[in-house]
Amino acid sequence: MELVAKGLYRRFGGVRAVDGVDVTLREGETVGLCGPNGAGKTTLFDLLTGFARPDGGHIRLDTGHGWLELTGKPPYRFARAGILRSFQQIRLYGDRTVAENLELARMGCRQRCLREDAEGLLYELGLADVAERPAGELAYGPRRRVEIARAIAGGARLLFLDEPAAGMGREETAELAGQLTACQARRGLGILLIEHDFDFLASICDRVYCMAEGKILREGPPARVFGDRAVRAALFGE
Amino acid sequence: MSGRRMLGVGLAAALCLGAVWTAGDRYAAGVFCRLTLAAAAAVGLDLTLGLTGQISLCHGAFMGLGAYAAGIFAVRYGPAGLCMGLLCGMGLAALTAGGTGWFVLSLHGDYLAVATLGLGEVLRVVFENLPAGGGVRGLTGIPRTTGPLFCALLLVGVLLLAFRLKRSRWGRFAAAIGADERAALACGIPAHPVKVAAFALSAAVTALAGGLWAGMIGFIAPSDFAFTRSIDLLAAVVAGGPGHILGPALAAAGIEGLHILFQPLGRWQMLLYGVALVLLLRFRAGRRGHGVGRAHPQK
Repeated sequence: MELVAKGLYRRFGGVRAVDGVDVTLREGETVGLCGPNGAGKTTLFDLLTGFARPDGGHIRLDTGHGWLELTGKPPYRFARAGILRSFQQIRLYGDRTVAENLELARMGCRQRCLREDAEGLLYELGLADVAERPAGELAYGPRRRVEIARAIAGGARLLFLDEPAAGMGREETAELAGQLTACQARRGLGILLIEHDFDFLASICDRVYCMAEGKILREGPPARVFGDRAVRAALFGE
Repeated sequence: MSGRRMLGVGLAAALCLGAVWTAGDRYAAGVFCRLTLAAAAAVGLDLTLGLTGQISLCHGAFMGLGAYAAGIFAVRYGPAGLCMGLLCGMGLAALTAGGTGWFVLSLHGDYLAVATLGLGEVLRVVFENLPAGGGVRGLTGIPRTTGPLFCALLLVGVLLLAFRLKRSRWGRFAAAIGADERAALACGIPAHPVKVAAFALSAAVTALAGGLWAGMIGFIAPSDFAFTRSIDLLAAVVAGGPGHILGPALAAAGIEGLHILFQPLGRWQMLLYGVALVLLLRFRAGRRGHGVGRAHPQK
């Protein structure tokens, strides 16, 4: 499966939040998306997951059996096609248990509910012990992982994670990186993640997009992108 | 038998007993019918406001749509026409709600409230200009065929339907949308179609209550289904607890009871009713700590 977005364009009033962006994401690869605040990263995420309509450009999905046109479709169509996401501000159903949150995504995305799959997923993300606890009672780190688990439970083939390591300490971030890598290897997921932690991106990403002012500044392996002068100027003001 | 089922059976039995007990007294039967029909209409609104969190200020008008359809059919074709009118009213309300809801339910919060207010006003103007409905003067001579037992059975049926829907897959989707629509969309839940379906269904249920209201009271006028009726229903759902089904039903019966209680006081009626409503909602908000939480989902 491969998501291909070409010439994406989105404006808010006079501001071009996303300006002629091309992005691809394939199953099995991990891609990072970085950039200064206001670069348009979350807007791009919203476009690629259906939460915002592009003013120009198109989004297509190569399912392996043909192309699926997703431009302008509502978010649930993206989700049911295997494109699921997490949010910058965690969005869980706090009064429901972890297991119930996952089951909701399975029902919504019309996935078969296999007990072994559910237990395996929770174990992979270190959530097996808290499956029956209300999601709202968990600490910040586990709640982030529940949101990721929910997206995978919904049948994600392409996973979009908006700052999954935000607010986490070094150890927790390293643990998350390991869990994501293991999850991806086991399930063949494609992952696109927004992060400001460049060490985290460098440790798990195959390639990175750097955005600035709504455009893709550079794209390539993490070492090359983070070493680029224009990227360093945009990110660090060097 | 589980506690919940016993409660349900007990409630159904109590309603039927109440219907039988009041059947012999015309005034008591009228009061009973008003309370049960108000409760059923509120449950209708709760299906959309309580589950999906969509504020509607036009459910009084949907009640009117049902009342006018049933009333016109009953006047033209007699008591048998009331049944046709009920179905027609439910269908009209569902189509009106579904059709306008498709465009309006992409709005949120205050914008949605004002849009539904506008829809309610459009329907009120339609009632006032409907020749078959008697225009501003209203429709008289509706055969009074709705009795207490009929109303009791309607309320039991509506409550049963609402509880079943709430526990169904569809109901869980609706509740997820009401709690957090973006999260629901991220879970693959088709939020917009579910909201539109909930709005249409709730309009149909409220219209059914309105149709039976016409058959109970024998005379209807546009002012019976104006904005104040929508506010009564909204207050009932807020006071009873959005999504709780039984709470809004009881609150609606209580609010209708206040109307009946204060009716002899003439012009002081609305003043006292307003004070009572403020106190009721203040008490309710104080206990819960917040207002219509589900009606303002996380964005």
